[in-house]
Amino acid sequence: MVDDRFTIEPLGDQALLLRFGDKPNRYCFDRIRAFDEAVSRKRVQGIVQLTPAYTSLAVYYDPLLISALDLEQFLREVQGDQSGFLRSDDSGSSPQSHSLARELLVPVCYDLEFGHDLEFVASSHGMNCSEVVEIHTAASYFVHMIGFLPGFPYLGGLSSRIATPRKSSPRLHVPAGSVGIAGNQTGIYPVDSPGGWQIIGRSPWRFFNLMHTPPSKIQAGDTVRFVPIGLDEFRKIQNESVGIE
Amino acid sequence: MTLEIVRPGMFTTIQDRGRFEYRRDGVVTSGAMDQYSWQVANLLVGNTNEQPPCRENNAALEFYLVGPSIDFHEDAIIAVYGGQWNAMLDGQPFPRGRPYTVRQGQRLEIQEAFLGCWGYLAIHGGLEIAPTLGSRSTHVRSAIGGFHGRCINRGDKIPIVVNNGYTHNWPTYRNCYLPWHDLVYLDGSAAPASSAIRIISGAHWDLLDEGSRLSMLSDPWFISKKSDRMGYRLESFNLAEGSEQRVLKLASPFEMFSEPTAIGTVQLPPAGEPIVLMADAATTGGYPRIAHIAEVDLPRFAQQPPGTAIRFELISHGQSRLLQLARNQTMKRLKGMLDYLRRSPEDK
Repeated sequence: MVDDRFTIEPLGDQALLLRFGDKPNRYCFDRIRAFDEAVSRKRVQGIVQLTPAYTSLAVYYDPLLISALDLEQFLREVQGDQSGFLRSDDSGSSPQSHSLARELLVPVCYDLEFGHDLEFVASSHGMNCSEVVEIHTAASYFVHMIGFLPGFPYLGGLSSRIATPRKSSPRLHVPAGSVGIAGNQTGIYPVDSPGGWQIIGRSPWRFFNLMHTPPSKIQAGDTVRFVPIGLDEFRKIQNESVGIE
Repeated sequence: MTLEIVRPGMFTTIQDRGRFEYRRDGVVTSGAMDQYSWQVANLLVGNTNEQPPCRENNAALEFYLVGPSIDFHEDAIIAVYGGQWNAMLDGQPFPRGRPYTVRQGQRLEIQEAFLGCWGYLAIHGGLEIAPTLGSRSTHVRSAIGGFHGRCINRGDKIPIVVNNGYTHNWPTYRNCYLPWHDLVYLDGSAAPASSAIRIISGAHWDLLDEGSRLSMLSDPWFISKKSDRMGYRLESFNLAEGSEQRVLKLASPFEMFSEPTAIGTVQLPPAGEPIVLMADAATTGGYPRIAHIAEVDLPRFAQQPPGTAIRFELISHGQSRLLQLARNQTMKRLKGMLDYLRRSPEDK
């Protein structure tokens, strides 16, 4: 039977936060996504936007159109419907089909021209740069959520062997496409931004494009693998993507 | 049909209600920092969106501390609202908080704010700017929306919507009683400086130690100079006033995964000085959320310039709801009155 429990707490006076668990994992993610989709399908007037995160789902509402109490009651009704549906569906362990799950192979150039902190990351773990790249490209990373910056993916699954603390003082300019490490997280800067992550490479892809729907190339629920490429190929892909857009 | 910017003022951008539907893509909400003043400015010039939910989404020019100078190449009905500013139209004092027909060739100069810090210039018909991801608001850091995703510069020509000859039937309101007392009530900057900013408790309020909860609610806090559209940092001390430095502490260390945030969320980073998330704040955050500014007080809070001392008062969610309902009634009254005046003859 599916675990459909969550707690509801206010997030200010224009949003509710639904908490599905304490630990971010695939199971928690699937429950959040299933509920997110169930609420979105209802198209209730007054719900402005749903935003999923690691272990929670924010429901932003317009207090002019719906009160927190009515919204809470509605969410509990959806929960009731959903658990009935899921039970009769008898789908087993996971509350949703994985038809939308994608694996993205993201090309990354780990050349020192882009990987400004690659040597630092390597030396702080007593490795050489190619070992860091090997470890970083061996894993598959689950996208728990998009947040912080437009299109910024929070990736889970970084090997503890290359986990490295943030820089003590952030850079003022990290170029779009930069791939970095912060603690046990790894991520990609989709737009130019200041940032404190240890930068180990750069992808030639454009991760946030206003002309695309949705604008973020990576979506929560995707799986990401990094594929090492050389400088020549980086420039080639970069030129191609400029031509397309 | 354009406005030409002669002098850009400070951090002048195009803003509307905000960009709500892409937070799940990491796109920040943006929108007017003072939503009341932005809305009143639009109501004054008759920009209303009659579609439910009746929340006007007309773009206005927003400026900070110093307003822009603008040449009008067409007649236009405009209103300036928000903080209080010295403004001149061709050298004559320009009235604040009233719709006014500016003629072709005239120059409006908005100078420095003497009360509040955010100002809005709304134009009847609105700005001819295509929405990006459902909104005309500018987010400068990610170069999304507004005028080429950036602040307004000298020489920019901002297209305005052609207003169908409406200009000449526009009431001057010269002899009308207008609900100015309502405007004063709504006007953040006009509220007595001593009145507290109301907050509601956040998910992690109870994790603060007792002294910190007391300090948050009884001591003065100062808006830091390091405040912007992303967030207002609160400082516990003011060198000029010789006040002591304090920090807020959690009763025990607390680690959390990043969670969604909201505009008005009061975050507590490890250093112990709270940050209030404002319109351009990141969509998620990993710091404890000790409180939220009540929605009805966000505009008044936003209008406090750096260095201002403020106090906080804790209210319940129920009280916040009642305040929201009362505010909505006031807005409805104001809107009804302006609609009535606009449909009546000029000499009313």
